[in-house]
Amino acid sequence: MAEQLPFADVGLASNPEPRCPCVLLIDVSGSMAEIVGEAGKSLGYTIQQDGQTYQAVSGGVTRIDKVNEGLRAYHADLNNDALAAQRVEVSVITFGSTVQTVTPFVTAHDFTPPTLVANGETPMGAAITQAIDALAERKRLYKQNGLHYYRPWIFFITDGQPTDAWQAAAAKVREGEKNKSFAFFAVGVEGANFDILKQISVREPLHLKGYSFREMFVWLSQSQRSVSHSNPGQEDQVKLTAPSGWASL
Amino acid sequence: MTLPMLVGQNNRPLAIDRQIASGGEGAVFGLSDDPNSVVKVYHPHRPPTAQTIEKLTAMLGMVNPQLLKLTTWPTSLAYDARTRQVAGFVMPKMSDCQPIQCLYNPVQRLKLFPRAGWSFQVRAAQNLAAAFDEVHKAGCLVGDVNQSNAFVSPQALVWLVDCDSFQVQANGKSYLCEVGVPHYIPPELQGKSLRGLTRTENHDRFGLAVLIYQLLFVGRHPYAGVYQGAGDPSFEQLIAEYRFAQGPSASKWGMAPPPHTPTFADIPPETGMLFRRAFERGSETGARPKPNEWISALRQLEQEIADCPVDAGHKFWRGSKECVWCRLAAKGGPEYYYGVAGGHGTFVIDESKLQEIQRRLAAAQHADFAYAREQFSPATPPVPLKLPPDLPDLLLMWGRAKESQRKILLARQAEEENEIRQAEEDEGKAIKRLEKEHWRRKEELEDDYENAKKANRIASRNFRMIGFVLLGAMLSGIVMFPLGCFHRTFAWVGLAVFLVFGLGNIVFAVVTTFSPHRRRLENIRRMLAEGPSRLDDLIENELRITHRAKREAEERSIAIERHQEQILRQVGQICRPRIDEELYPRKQRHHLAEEKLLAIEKVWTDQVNQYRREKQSRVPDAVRLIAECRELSTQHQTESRRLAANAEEAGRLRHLRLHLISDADILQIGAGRKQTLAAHFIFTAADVEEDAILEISGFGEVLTSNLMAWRARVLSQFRFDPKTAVSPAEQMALASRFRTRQQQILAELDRQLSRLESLAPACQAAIKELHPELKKAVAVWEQARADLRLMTGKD
Repeated sequence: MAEQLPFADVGLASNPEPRCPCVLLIDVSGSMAEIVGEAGKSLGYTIQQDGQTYQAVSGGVTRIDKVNEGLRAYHADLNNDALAAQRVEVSVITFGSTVQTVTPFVTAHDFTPPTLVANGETPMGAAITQAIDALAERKRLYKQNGLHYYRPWIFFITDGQPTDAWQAAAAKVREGEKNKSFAFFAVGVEGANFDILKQISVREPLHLKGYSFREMFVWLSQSQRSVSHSNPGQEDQVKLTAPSGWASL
Repeated sequence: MTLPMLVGQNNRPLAIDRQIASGGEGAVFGLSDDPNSVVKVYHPHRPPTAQTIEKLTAMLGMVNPQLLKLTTWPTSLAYDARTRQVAGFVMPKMSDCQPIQCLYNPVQRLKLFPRAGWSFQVRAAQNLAAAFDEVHKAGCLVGDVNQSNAFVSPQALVWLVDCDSFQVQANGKSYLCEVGVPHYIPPELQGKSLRGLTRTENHDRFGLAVLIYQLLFVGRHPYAGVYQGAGDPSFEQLIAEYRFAQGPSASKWGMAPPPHTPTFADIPPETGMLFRRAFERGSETGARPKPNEWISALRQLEQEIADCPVDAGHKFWRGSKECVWCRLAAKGGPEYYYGVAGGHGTFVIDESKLQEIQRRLAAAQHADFAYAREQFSPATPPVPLKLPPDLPDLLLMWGRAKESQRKILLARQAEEENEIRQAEEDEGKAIKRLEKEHWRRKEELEDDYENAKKANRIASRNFRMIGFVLLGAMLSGIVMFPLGCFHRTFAWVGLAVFLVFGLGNIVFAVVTTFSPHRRRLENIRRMLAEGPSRLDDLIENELRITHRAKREAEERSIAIERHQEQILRQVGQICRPRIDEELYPRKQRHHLAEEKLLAIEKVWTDQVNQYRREKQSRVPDAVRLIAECRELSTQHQTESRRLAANAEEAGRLRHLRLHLISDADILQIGAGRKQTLAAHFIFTAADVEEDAILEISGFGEVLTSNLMAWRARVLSQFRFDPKTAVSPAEQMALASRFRTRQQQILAELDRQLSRLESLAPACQAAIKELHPELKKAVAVWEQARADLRLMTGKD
């Protein structure tokens, strides 16, 4: 009998394009529920979450709302490019109360932006490990299906500091970058511990200007579009536009 | 980009229309006075170099009508009207074309070429080769062959674009193409700098072959296979090492075709040979097929394409045994040409296949493997081993003795049973009799008792009267006694009377107390009370008698039995030693043969039980999958409905957005108020929301309700047609998803059933191996049994 492949591989088989996988590793700890715009009336009480005290208010736009908006923009922009939509594969992994794969790998064409909800702590170490494992498994599937791929990206977004052991995960990131197994981008939102981010990420962590998640995601999409039009193995030659519109070093 | 005023070679201004495309070098615009041409305008910050202008000019001189049908070849230059510098060039316009990537990629193809089957792709491949041929004939090379430099029309006509990057040979001068996409760069150039490199036709032919391969092999790249060697080579490395994934030799360099894709068995060997010549080592020496070789091979292939009887959208090479697309789908792969034949917007369960599967499932469950020892008996019954000559008489003697003993014992047994029954019957009768007697006597006694009681009562009355007289006399004595003071005699008489009658009274009382009446009464009462226990004693006595009788019968039997045994022993002493001498070996043989046979039979039943267990464990899986497959129909309906619902929502929003406030007549909303609304980003009916409007100063309840009424009016004009609202492509994509899932389930079911079906033959084979052994064992056992039976007369 010929090869026996699990059902999940059919999506891989029907699309022969080389893949450009990307894990969006998003912090959904309680602090991401902080209101950053259009706040309503104060409700006159406070809430303890993620080690901090917050004023409860009605209405308003939270950090996570901005992330969700950014994800939608990211999806729309990627799908404006038919080739990128077939080549870029997205997986969304969040870390808060738990580390959770919200969206398993799917081509941008089939991606539905999730609506994330903020709650819990910041288990960065576990999240990074899960992202690296997910990428390894995805690469294995690519090979099994005779598909080529670009260097995967892990796009790591946080606004806090780790609440679990992160050193082992940091070592894995450094090893992965060294072997060119993936590229790890860290983006710190206001409140992030940049000292630790610098120890985790080989590349200089980016400091998000304000809460311009939308701009950040559009930049990500544009960069992935450029990469996906290049050739696997040559992505290093792709000149990404500077993230100056939304980040500062 | 801001466009300068452009003029053509004849100095006439170009009527620039809207922009069609833009890229790194410039943008392409339509021409409003020439529907068949477009103009490419270089970005003002990247004006064409002198080299480029020279190249374009040279190309203008090479143009021919053939080229203009296959390529966007420059037809004239465009100049900046002000500076008179070359700003771009005019070229033929392709209409309705898509990059070739959209045709070879199955997902894109189903969207953009929904009716294009494999034959369409074969035709496009031919046309692509023809376009290359024409370019090569003109002495040029495409150079930067890639997935977006060839375009395909809905009629499978192919256009080569980006002609200004071609490698051009003119006026003894070479204009090079110094860019490339690695996937289309031949192994010998991989990793080399393209700067200053003069390309050859053989290089171009590599790119052509890759595109043809992609068209024929569901978009896969010739070097994208499953690499089975060590390490993790990059794509470019695989190309550089000539690791072609197909063909008879691929395994030699550690490659295998990717799963779920066609293989060389699905194309004619001639075509396969062309691919091998293009991709295997040695191709770099100029051996790659020329465009016209492809044209003739593909033309031949086109004539050998057959329609699949199952799905008219499946086109496949007749020479392969079966429809490759059905085969791939049946094995759980994608439905590459789903819906190409049309009419596939809906999804139906493949009932015939499911029923076939259920039939197979039922059949697979049928096998039984019941065991019957007789089926292994030898054809002729065994001839028992002869007895020594003296034995028959001895056996007869022994047999008779046994028989006589048996008869006597049987007779005695019957007799004993009879005796016991008799004793029990006697006992029953006696008890009945005793009970009857008891009741009769009890009645008599009760009658006597009544009579005695009556007599006693009369006697008592008489005694009482006598008692009173005596008492009176005694009292008269006491009365008389004091008269003694008158005369002594009175005292003596009185005393005497008192004593005599007092004594008489005592005597009388004693006599009456022990009167016969009372005694009789007491007597009867006692007898009545003793009655039941007396009966019990009597019955117990009867039981004792019966018990004794039974014991005596048993004892008699035992005695007879002992006697008979003694007789048999005596007979046995005469004939048993000889008999046993012959019998024991036979018994032993029989015992061994039976043990051996049972052991083999156990192997048989173990095997069959294992088969049954495995079967039992697999059947539920298959049943579950069948149910899941049937379930797909409902799921598809649900999702269709959701799709329609979403479409309705989107349609409604679109409808609202089409109605601008600025164009509408709304009660009390004039131009000024419309401007206020616009300043609050409220432009169309879609933006009209009660809360938002109420927040705008100057807009109270009345104006807001006017606006809301207008919105409701607009909304009431919205008509939704669910049939047309969901695009066929969306319907097809949904149906395709379900059909793929169905194919996967059917493929999985097929695998499960094959496994299930293989169980019975495997079990059959295993038990068949036991047959010779069993035959032998049964024969030996039957012989031993016959030998034994000859002596014992039974099994």
